[in-house]
Amino acid sequence: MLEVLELFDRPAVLHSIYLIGSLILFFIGLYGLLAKRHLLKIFVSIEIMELAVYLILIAIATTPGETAPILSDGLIAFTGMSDPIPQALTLTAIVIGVAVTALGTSMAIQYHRLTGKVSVAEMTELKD
Amino acid sequence: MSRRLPLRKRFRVHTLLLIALCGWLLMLHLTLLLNHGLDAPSNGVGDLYLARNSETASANAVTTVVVSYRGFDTLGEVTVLFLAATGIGMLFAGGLGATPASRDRHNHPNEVMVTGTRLLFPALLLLGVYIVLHGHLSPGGGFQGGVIVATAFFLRMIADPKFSLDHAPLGWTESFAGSGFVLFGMLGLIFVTTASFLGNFLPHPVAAMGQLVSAGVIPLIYLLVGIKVGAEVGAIFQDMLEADHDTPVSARAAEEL
Repeated sequence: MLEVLELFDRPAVLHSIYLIGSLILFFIGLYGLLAKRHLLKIFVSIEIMELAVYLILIAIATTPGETAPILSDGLIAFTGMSDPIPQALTLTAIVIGVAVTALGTSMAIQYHRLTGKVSVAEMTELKD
Repeated sequence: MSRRLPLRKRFRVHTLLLIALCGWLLMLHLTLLLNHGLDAPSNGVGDLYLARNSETASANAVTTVVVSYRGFDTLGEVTVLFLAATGIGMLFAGGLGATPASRDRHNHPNEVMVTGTRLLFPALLLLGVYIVLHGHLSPGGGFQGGVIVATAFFLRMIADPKFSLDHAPLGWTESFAGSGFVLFGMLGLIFVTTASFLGNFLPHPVAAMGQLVSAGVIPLIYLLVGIKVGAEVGAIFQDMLEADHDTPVSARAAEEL
């Protein structure tokens, strides 16, 4: 039992688990993006894909045994901590993702108001 | 309706196969790429930042990276958020001749919502302000706390149909915070001791690390970011809520067709 747990504590194994899980999430989002026709469902799929990318960034940057890069709870030196840069970049990416999704959703709502359509398959205004 | 369809018609089989192929290829690629780096601890610019982090006297290294080392990046990020908020305001307020802010009367919030919001609103506000002010000490910061403050106001908007955020004060608050950010960056450029954009020109003794008043200019900038993000997200909520209560244009369009 203990050997199995120690096997799971190895960075390579742990990172592989994180990576596989995030990639499954990513491809669920990609399937939704390609297969769904409803505009809001497409935005939800894009959000799921973004979330998977954040998870990959954070998970790969942290090795087991490293602490969060914050001095608290008796820590006195910045050693043995995980890389702060992917976390900062993920924070940036989350904010940008929220902004872009909000703008896209607003455009979809306005499109629905103008035309009464919600499906990308029926978007034929520019087709002559 | 979908329950009667056979399984192969509920999914798009070709798309699913394509996705499986893509996933397999990406997995293969990543296995080749990450084969070396997985077992070793990370080794790069992040470790350099960590080693030099105590010079900024900020206990939270992520905040140091966001506000100080990569503060320019954060300025761009805030700009993108501002542009998105402006775009949403433009989409909902102008253009289509929709009359704004005639909130309907038949859509009353229920009692649980109203009472719960009365209970939660001060606590959420306090939590948001706490997270903004302690961005250099604990997990959190301007972005997270600002969104929490905006959420508190959003709850009030839902619970009380008469409550609405005025756009002019929101705009003033937001532009004040944005110009404050740039001003702090410029001041860092002017002072000889730092001579760099967003340089930490206020005193930041390392001995004070972990206290509320420490890390010089970092908590002030994060406070401005928090104000800006809160005002922008609040404006987005307000725009979308106003749009929700407008007369449905789609119904009219359908009648004309």
